[in-house]
Amino acid sequence: MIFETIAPTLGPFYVGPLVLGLIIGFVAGILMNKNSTNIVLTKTAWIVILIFVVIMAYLIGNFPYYGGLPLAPGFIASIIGALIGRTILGTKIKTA
Amino acid sequence: MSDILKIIAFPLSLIMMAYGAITILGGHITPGGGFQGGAMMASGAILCVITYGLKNNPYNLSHNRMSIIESLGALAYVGLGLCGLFIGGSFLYNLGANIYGLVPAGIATIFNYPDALHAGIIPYLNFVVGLKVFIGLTSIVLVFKGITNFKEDYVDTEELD
Repeated sequence: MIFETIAPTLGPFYVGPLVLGLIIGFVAGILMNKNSTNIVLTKTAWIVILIFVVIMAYLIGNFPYYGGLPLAPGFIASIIGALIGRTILGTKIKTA
Repeated sequence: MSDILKIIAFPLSLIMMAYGAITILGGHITPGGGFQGGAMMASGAILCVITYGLKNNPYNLSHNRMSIIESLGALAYVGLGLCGLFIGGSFLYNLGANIYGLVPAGIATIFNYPDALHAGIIPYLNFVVGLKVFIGLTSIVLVFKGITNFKEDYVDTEELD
């Protein structure tokens, strides 16, 4: 019911963009380093980035799938996948 | 590069990659697809390479990881094509959409992309092409960036003459 209030045109919630977006993000995430001396992101910075991502997904809309949530599901899924990939398989640089 | 660029480049590259991802995901119904989305994802990595340099980059663009991802993309493309050949009778036959009704319904369901349009294997092809283009374009820029370290060794023979 709450989804219908948010998105009146709620249709089926498709798995395809969520899963493929998660995999694409995961692949990008495993190419990342866990720590870099050039940029250090604190937890607050990550929270700000995630809020920005949600706002951006809302402004994009339900691209390119019609019906469902008013957010771009693949966009958020790929960001979450990147964070998971970075956490699980990201490289840790040895600092002297 | 300036500190402002160093602060903003990595978060921005994450967002560029996510935007490339949804371009790949919408390739079968909107303008875009594997090449375009892969190029957008590569631009995210390239931004970091240009801003941070090759050392201490937030991205670990090592040969092994990149070659594994690119090879997986190419092999998956060929694999999907061969599945179409052996099951449907022609290379890259769209097993999921199954327009000509050549394959059983169970196999068509397995290869069908779960969204409203039932595009079959087209989104999967976009996905694997996107991976390959992402790594390919990134590696080209990596080579260019690496070569600039040796630009002082370059001697123009015409200039000497």
